[in-house]
Amino acid sequence: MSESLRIRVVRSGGVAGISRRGILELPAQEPSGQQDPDWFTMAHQALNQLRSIQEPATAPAVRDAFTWSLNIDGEDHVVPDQLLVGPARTLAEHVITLRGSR
Amino acid sequence: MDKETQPPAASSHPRHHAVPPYLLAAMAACDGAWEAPESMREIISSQPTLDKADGPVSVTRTRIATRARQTMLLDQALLHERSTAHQKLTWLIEPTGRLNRIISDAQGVEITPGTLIRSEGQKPSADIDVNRAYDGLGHVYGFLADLFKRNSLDGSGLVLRGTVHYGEHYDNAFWDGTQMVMGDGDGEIFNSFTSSLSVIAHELGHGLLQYTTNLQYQGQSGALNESIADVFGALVEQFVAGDDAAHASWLIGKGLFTKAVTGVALRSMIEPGTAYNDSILGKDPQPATMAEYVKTTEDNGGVHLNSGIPNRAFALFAKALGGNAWETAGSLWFNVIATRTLPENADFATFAEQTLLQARRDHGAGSAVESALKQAWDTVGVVPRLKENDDE
Ligand SMILES: [Zn+2]
Repeated sequence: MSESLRIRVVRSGGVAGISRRGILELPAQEPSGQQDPDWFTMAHQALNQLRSIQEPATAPAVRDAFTWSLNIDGEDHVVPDQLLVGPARTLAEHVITLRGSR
Repeated sequence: MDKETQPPAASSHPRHHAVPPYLLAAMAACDGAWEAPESMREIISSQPTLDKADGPVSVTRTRIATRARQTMLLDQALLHERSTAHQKLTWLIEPTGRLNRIISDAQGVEITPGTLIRSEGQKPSADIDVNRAYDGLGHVYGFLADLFKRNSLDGSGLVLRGTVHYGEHYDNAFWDGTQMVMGDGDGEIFNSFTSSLSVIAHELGHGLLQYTTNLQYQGQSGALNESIADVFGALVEQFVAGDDAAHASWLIGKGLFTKAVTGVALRSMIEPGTAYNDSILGKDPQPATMAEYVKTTEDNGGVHLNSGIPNRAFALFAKALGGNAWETAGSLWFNVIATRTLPENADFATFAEQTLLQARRDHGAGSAVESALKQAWDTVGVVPRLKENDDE
């Protein structure tokens, strides 16, 4: 938890087909627990959560939903909008607001 | 102008009045690619079933089913014109049903459906989003009923449901498999998603596909799904405005961007890639030809990007024909998906080929319609793929 951490997020799709992307770099020297909110802890919660997401067996009938791609510490996860909840969603929504990179 | 010689369709179905409707329905359902409306199911199940053997028979069965579905479409249109004389047949082909809309309010939360706020026949609400959603669903229903003699999305009077005020500043609208869901937009880039009829109808277009040819939402079949939803969205908007192909804007989502954005709409069907060029949003990334096809893992393989290619083919085709796009061009596209002649994983080439086959069925080989369609596919760089056993 003391090493630096990079989080990249892309939200693609939607009826507009306009992607939004952002990067969050958490420097190593900033101790966990001193940020507001604690993105380090949230990133690790998000990773655990993303690893346990079960894709439905049948193809979903939803159309024009957003698709989220999260890369946390080099680990890739692609998640449909409806399955992205909790800390992973909070983190993802925060990251795409950064750098104005729509 | 599309009345060349007596309708070839009539001569290719010389015996369609000799086939009893229940048998026709059984034939239409025999390949499992079409689910008969509820009112027909009992009658079908009481009839002796067709040969159930697999193997070469299934090819024959597909052909029988496809033919039968085409005949039924023709019958539906004919019956509508003479509905008083054929009441008993009409209920078989078209189960009773009427426009039924239900609009709910998610009140800023990401839930569906939310709180019921306006149901069919109720007076307009004080909420403009509620009314635009309600009116939009009505336009979609009227379009399907007037032009394709189809009773709602499923042909059986499906209740049309919409949720407004989904989420907070939510920059999207979608079809969730049962209803349309509209966000309010962030107010900085996007206005409310109910502000564009083409977007409302686009979402319902996904519903129509779900109940006809449910093209897989990935890669080229996904881009076709997107494109056909755009075609549907544009046609409903043109139909309501009374715009013919020459005067139509061919834009999807006009009015959706705020004034802060340098752009006219989400997409241009006639000139993909030109809808916006903005300092924040960047340039409209849609390709206009196969040579520019976008390979990406995002957006289910770029379904909202590569849809520009078949979109442009449709718009070019409709403009070349002249007149109202929803008539010849629109009904041709509709017939392809409604007869389920297309595999759900179809690519652009297979779809193009099916549209050409449909053009020959509807208008005859060598017709002006067929050559305009060939030209359109050629311009966007899609080479229709001929398949064997096409005996039309
Ligand atoms: Zn769509």
